[in-house]
Amino acid sequence: MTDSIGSIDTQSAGTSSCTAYPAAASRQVMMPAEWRDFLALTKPGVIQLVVFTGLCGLLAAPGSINPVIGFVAILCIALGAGGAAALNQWYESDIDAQMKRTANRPIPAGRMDREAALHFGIGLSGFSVVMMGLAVNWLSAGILALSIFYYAVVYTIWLKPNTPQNIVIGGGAGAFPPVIGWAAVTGDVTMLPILLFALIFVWTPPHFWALALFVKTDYARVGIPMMPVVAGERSTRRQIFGYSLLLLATAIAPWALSLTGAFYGVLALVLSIVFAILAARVGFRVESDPARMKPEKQLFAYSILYLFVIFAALVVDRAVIAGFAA
Amino acid sequence: MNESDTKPLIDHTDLNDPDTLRQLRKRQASRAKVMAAILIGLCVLFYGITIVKMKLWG
Repeated sequence: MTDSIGSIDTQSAGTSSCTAYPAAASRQVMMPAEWRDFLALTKPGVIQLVVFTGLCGLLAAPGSINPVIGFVAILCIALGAGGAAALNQWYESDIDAQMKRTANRPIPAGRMDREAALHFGIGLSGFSVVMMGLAVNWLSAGILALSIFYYAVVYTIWLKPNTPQNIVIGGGAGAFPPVIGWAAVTGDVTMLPILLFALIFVWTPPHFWALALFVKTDYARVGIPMMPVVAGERSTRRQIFGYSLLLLATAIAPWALSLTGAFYGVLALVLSIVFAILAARVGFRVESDPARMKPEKQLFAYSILYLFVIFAALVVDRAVIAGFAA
Repeated sequence: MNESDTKPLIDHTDLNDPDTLRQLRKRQASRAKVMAAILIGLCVLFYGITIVKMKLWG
């Protein structure tokens, strides 16, 4: 929490600070942000998924890790994701203010100044990388740093405002946690964590475009080139279906390559076929009224469940079933 | 969370106003408590990491 506690920031002269003396009573002053606003800045909902996939990568990795070090690894992944999210909200505060879905975030709602968010994001990101390096290993710290840079700079600053492929390439930012979790245990990166990276990478476009279909008016208004805005709804729907087929192939790849057992393989196959069916319902219909987008909302909701279940299945397969077999 | 907790930044605040001052102190106190909890948590965590790194446990 980087804005000072015990002092009050003045807006009348930029961002300089002064102590809360009565003499300053006539000046414009700013309340320090609530700690809840700092928490909101980290996007706790997104962190849940990041922590979960990171934990699954850690549990699915061969070998063992001390529980304290494992906890530190997951904590650092969460803190790094929170720091990147804070930097994202710092950079996008102008856009957020114009979108209904994001207008109540701490900065656009006026509950926090941008400078505090920037300091908080940089501090959290730096702390998470250094702690990961010192307590776990420097490979996982390096991948964590790369993922923060990828999300805060490559995706937020470069891709998102410039290309409709922003989600496709930017999906890599959210795909790093299982690789980091794996690297925390083994100290290296092999084929399975790369496939887990690919799984989240391919899962992101249909997940996010399903959302973009029913909030597209917001993105269009602020000039973000989301696929439905640029390529049109018809093309986006076809691509959602196309990516769902790619997702099916990626999801069963670990089983096909004998990196997991049948439990994961069969579950991944069933879950991915259901995903493809829901994506087909979205892909081959024509509907532009956001109020009648039930299949799109169902696909979006299912995509979140899909990722949770498929990663849980991976852990059960590699850590539980394999443990019993041994 | 009550309404005053999520009140937007105040641009024209009279620091002699008791309500404003009370809100300011309340925010400072809640932030101080959270910061204290975080620091205590980090102390415990660093202690644990040190024990593990010295191979005294695990």
